[in-house]
Amino acid sequence: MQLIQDGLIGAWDLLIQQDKLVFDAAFRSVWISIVAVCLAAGVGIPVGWQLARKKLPFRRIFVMVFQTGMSIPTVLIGLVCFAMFSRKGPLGSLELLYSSEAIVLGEFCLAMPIIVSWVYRTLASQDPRIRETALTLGAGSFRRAILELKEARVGIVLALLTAFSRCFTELGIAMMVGGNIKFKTRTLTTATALETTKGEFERGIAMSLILLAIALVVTLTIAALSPKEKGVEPC
Amino acid sequence: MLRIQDLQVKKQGHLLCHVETLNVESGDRLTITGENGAGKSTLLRVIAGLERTFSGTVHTKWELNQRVYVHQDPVMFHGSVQQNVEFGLKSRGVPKSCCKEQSIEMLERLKCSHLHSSDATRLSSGERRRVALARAIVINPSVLLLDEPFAELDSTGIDAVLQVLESLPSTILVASPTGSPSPLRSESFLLRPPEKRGK
Repeated sequence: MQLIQDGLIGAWDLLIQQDKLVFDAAFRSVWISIVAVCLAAGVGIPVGWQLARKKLPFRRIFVMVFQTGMSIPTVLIGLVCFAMFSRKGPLGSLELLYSSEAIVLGEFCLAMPIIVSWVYRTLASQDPRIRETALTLGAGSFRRAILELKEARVGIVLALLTAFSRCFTELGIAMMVGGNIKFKTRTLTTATALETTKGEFERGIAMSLILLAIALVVTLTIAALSPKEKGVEPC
Repeated sequence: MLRIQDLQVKKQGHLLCHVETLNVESGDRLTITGENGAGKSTLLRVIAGLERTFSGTVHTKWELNQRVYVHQDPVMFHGSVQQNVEFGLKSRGVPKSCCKEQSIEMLERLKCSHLHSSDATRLSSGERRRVALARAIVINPSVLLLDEPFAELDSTGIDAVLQVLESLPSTILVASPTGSPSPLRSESFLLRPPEKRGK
């Protein structure tokens, strides 16, 4: 108990003093997650829309693959990315291993199935009258797609926040393809693991507190945006 | 013009709508009456091009984007009433300034101009119906397919809608349940419920 108490006091001091190690890792975690989610949204939203609206061959299989991808362990993605980016791997010539870009690509693989599955689910359950009204009013396919996505915006924002939350708190990918290099690829999760094993308990707690604070903000936003459940008021 | 011959619409083995012959000429006003489940909405949806799985012949010279269908319970897009009314105009490439002018004029004709800046998703069902009609009529379609357009309208709303519909050059087909005649002056077409349901 004393250890946790001392750790919290030490962590508070580090946050007040704006410890360089802590804030560097926090800043890197945030930008890597944002870039990965933006890239995944650029691919995932159109793919989700196609799956929901077009009669594609093997559509159900694709949907199942993406849904399975939502719960894929991050170490597995890290392992595959490591094999791809290592010197003997197919993308070895790009020399991305142990760089922030490699973590971005790994987290892109983590975020994309989440975004595809959420967008698909949101659009598949959308009121068909929206599409029919747009069609009957003469909207072309692009305008209809924009309208449908606009009408599904709450579901899409929730998808992006969920993907961000998963990327921001993952450890496996950042550790395996980032290598936890100080001031280069160290993120909040990898740094927390390292500092704790080194016995730097205060720094580990300080980083966990930042992780917790950002995760809390994302969770509260998700809760605020989620459609309210209709039902009988509790007595 | 529209020619329908031996139209049958089936879903999951159930016959939803059966029309032996129906002919409609440009500028006609036709009220399709029938009991609940007779297939009035299905028939309008087939004519609108929203229902594509059917047997029989449906021949028309009207382009798909000239046939506008208004649902029995119309849906509003997120945004203001004016944005909703402008949607069809913008889809047809009408310049922004004209969109605004035409949408306000149409809302005035349907006695709901006071709603132009209101949130369209928060309207009452009668208001929603009038705005949906404004959204459909403003694009000046060749054919208007209206599914029970007078339901839930108050007398002011019915008068306003009737006045606008009667001034239009468009062909108008209205679905109306038996026992609740449409106030629109029109020919009547009785749609009988499909006698045998099932495979």
